[in-house]
Amino acid sequence: METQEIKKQGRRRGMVAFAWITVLVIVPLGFMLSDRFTLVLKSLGVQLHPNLDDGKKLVEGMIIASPPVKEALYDGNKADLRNMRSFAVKEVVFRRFSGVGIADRLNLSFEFNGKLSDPQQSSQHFSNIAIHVFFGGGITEKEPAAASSPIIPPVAFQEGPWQYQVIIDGFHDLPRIYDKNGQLIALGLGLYLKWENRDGKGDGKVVSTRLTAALPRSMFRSLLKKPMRFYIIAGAPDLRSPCLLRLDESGRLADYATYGTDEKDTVAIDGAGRPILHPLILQPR
Amino acid sequence: MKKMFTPLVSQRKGWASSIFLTLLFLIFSLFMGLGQGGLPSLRDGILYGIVLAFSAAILFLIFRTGRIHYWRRIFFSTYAVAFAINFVWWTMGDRGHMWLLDKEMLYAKAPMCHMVVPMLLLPLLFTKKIIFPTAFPQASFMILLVIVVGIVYGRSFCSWGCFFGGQDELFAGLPRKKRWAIGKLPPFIRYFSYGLLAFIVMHSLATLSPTYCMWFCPFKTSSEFIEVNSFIRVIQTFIFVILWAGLAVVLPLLTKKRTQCGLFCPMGAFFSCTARINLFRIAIDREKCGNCGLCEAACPTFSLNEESLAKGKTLNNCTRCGACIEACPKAAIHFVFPGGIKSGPPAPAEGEKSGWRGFLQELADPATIFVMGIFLVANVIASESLIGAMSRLLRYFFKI
Repeated sequence: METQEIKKQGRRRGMVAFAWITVLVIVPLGFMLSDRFTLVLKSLGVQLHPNLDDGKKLVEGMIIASPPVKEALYDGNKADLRNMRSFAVKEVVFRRFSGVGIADRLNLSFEFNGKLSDPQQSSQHFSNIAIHVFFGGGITEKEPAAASSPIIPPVAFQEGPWQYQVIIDGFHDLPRIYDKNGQLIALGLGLYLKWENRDGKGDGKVVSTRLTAALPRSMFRSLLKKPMRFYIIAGAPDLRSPCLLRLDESGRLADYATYGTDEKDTVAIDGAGRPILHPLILQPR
Repeated sequence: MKKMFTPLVSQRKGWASSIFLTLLFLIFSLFMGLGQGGLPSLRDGILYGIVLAFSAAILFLIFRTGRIHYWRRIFFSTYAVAFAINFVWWTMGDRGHMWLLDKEMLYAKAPMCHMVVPMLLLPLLFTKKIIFPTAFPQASFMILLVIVVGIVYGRSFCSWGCFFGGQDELFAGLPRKKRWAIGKLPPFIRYFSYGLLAFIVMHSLATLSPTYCMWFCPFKTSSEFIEVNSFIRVIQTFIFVILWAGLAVVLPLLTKKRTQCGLFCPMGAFFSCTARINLFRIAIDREKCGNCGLCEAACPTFSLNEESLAKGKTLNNCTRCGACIEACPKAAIHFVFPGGIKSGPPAPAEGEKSGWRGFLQELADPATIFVMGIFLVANVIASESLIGAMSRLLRYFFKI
């Protein structure tokens, strides 16, 4: 009986010591080392999943080369110029999101992979890339009705069918979506920064950026059933221009704009001095 | 009839140990608070000091009076109100509205609470993805919090650290009398939260989205709504408001029970699953128990019934709030370690000099260690809300 009592007392003392150590050392340390835990999770390959990362691909496009920028014509600062020169639209993808509470609204996105400057990191939170995307189908007119709208850059569409225009510029968190008549019909979502770990150490550095104009699926449901034509223009932004792309003194697109033109390096000019754009094609999967 | 209070001699600590434990709490709280980044300004430092003094006073009173439930409820309810004030003020001030916009979700800027964690775990395991649109450090902190607290304290978090549970508790504590006495619960109701937990975990895995947050969280109403921009969102918002009004306000007011926490909260069910490995439990001394049923009536979370009392323990969903301990007229209910290990001889009676031996015995009491530990956790979590609410109120009303 006495031995049992001693054993019981020893067990009790051990438990008391363990409990005090747990509540005063282990649990507080757990809280204080939460940063380390974050690194451990990242080193295990855990990532945030806002679904933009790998939503279901519906259609995808091609690599679009970036024509050289004429450095002498650009009077902006050198850093901006470097950003412009390194920018290239590598991929255009329509994705369907699921989950994260946004499934009913933000179901499609354009993605532009490339070394975009990060507005969040730059002064004034302003990026020096402006992007216009024209897409849609089913229109029989040769030229969209709103071609003369000041928000559309002075370009000539080789084929007419586009219904929607997305403009992403400067403050990337608010892309605007216009219909073919130049009416603002929706606001999309903006810049998505791709954060990656380096060597698994997870310092959270931005290694590439991606622009996303997430759009209501209801607008585009029918478009995804057949090959879709789209046009893309990227260039330096200019707040003096209604379309927010840099124009020269004669109102033409300045040379430091780049066009998605069916992989052709050279761009033909029409009689009015506008670049003639050929559509890019997206094939549904 | 005059309300009768239990003497609570069994839980009451002497002056020496109460002061010692409070000082210990202050030291560790400062250590933990400063360890999380330090104090940004003199003003915040003063506010932090006030909050710490408030918490220390509550802890001292818990130890000195032995009334764990009474003082805990004051702290817990204050914390819940402070959280709501601070959070809603933050949303209104920073965003101008209580909506959680699509943009914030896309940018992974949604604030995350611990309730999300059960839904994250399986997708994390299978896809290595955190399926909630929040900042990575915030998500990992919440996961760590739930793991550590879940293992050590289990559902105790629901009565000490959960900023939503305090709302339930506040409304349950407002009326003097219960207007609706809930009798024996049918199994369907008792196990409903486990079923809901299983459903939301599986559904979250299947859809890779936090189902509970999107459809069932009553506390969206007192924090932030998902942006209402479609008919589905209207339905979701309607559900949030109805659930909050029904489960967290009306039913607690009518029954004086924490209906949302006790019967419907999946996070509570998740924590209940760890009850078998928790470091602290509540046990009923069958020899002392007079089967009066006062503890069962006092339990706000339906954690006691005839079967559990006969076995001398609480049900797995016990939140260690201490209500049953206070209600027991025979001091038959105690905190114990696993295996029913108690602290040894009871603490000295009132007026009796205890000396070193008594002092050490009081420190070895599982109730002492439990309260100290869980209160440290609760204080760390609550501090931000308490400071934030106080700061905003002072600035608004007194311009300081």
